[in-house]
Amino acid sequence: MEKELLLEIKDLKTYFYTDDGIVKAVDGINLKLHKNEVLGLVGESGCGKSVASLSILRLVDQPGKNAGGEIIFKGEDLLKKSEEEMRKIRGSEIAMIFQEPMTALNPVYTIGNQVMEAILIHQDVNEEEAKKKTVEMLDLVGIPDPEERFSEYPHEMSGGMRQRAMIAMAMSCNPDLLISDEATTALDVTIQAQILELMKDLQKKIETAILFITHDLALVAEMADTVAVSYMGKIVELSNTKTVFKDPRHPYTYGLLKSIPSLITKETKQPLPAIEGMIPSPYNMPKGCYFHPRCPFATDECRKNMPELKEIEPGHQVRCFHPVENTKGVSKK
Amino acid sequence: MKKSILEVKNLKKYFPVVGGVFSKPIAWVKAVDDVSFSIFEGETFSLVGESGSGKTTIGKTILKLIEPTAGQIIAEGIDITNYSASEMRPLRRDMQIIFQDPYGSLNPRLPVGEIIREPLVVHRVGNKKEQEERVVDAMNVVGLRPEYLHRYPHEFSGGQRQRIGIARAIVLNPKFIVADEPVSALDASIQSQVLNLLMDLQQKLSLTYLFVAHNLAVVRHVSDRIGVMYLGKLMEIADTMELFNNPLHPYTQALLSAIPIPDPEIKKERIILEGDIPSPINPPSGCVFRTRCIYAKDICREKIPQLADIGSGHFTACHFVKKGGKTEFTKKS
Repeated sequence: MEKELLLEIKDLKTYFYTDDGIVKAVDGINLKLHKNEVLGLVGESGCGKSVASLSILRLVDQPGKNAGGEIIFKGEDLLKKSEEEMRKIRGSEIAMIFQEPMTALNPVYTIGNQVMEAILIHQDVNEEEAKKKTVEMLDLVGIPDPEERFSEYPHEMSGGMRQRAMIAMAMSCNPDLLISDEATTALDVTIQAQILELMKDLQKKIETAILFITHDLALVAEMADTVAVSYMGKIVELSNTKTVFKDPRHPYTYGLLKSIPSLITKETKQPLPAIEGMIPSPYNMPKGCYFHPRCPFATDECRKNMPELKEIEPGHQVRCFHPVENTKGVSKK
Repeated sequence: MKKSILEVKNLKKYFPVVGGVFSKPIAWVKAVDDVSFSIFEGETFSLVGESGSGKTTIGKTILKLIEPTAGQIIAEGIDITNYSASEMRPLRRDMQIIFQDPYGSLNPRLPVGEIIREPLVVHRVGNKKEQEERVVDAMNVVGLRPEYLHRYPHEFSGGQRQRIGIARAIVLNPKFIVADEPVSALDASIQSQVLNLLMDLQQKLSLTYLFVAHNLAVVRHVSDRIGVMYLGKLMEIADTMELFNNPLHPYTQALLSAIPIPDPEIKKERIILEGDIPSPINPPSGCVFRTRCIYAKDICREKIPQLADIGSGHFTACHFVKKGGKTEFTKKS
């Protein structure tokens, strides 16, 4: 059964026009997200994952600008919408949770007011109904004593509780798409486990599709149905989660998975197979494949030309001239 | 017989919370509350725990960068608890620290060569020429090219800055280094490089590390022994493999089960802890973990469990973990 397509990003480009040159933060990415699906977008700092999510909501600030492509959401191109139309979509059809709940929440309004604001703007309800719905949402995301917490300010809550409030706000209008940008990065591991559990649970209940953006491969393995790996503004590997983790064919994905410390190996205190070098400066990108200066398999071809994102087997796309052949033993918990 | 290089006995560090017109202390944050452990020569001893558990405070207190409130710090058999700053100075040659934030911990106005040379100047080691030679040596050891001597911190990436911080820490040939979250600000592909460097230096320079971190996969890879902290107290200490294979304290069990695993095929039974970490200003009576513990009983509220050796160097602070590692857990009704 083919799931209904919710979001299709076609050749999206977001460039930053700075005094020092053009930074291609998002450099022609293609992504598809189906209804009720979780798409993991993973990469290191500077790979363009956050800019990609802001581009979808058309929230990229100066000097960043869209430089081409389409964002088809429910059959319509978001890039062609007016600011007025976008405002209706943001928060109601597409909602977002950010990394730092303390800066994303307004410190001078109570939690309840902030959640209620979203409901009042986007739904045809009066204040009393909105308040009732707010308390329901706070309860749904597991905030104890929701009626009392309604009138608390963000600084009175812990990080985990604030993130729950953010989720309540994001989910209050039953969005079709939720963008989660490093939503659990600032949280402790036991609190992170709570929040991930909550997101999975709500996703089932509300049938929301999630674009799950993170730098943490382990989180993607837990949350996502499909994974896109990004490096310097380009998708380098895209497939279902199991394939990406069991059979990573791009040398970057492969290297990254091999380099993270394992939780089962007995060979601790041994050197980790690290990826050499570091990410290039966005002002001085290498010719050819962006990964070639760090890639152990690079050839002259890689130094000259940028490989296309190609399907190497059904449903598995890789941007590489020499995909890794033997990926056995890469996934080791 | 393993020789302990550092011993901490009943260490306490309370920070005052001031209020009122006269800024008198109105309450105390019990950041570290009655903690005892030893670090053996040549090992990596790690402290893990969530934010606010006191792990960083311990690291800074044993270097006497913060004055302890009570307890003893014994470095190579000498009680340094009440040493003054001038008495500490000769000892500091042997005890160094690497900080978490590679941006905030380097003076932006000094070139790299001067940053690394500073400890030599402070301790009046050698003349200028000898000092410069040692700086170049240290840079070579940590994998920084000596040509970078005259560059400033802002010209370097996060990973390279962390190398600068490490070079500064080893330039005096210390015996003991506190590494406070040394890789948590780094990207995954850079993390493994820096971990490899730290493990390599330990071999080459016979260093002893106190490693403070929250990433359990990283800690598992680099440590010989691990201490698990919660709300200013040690919950459990054991050899790395013993701790991961046989965690006995309910908090350790929950903490380990919350680690996300980069393998989509493994569905782990997860212990989701309820609620948040209580405030260290007003910690729970008895066992500090009892408010979130699924096995808590009356005795946990009434009596503080002591950290006790239950056999072969495995210490646990729980009323229901008996000698030999037998547990008598029953769920709360």
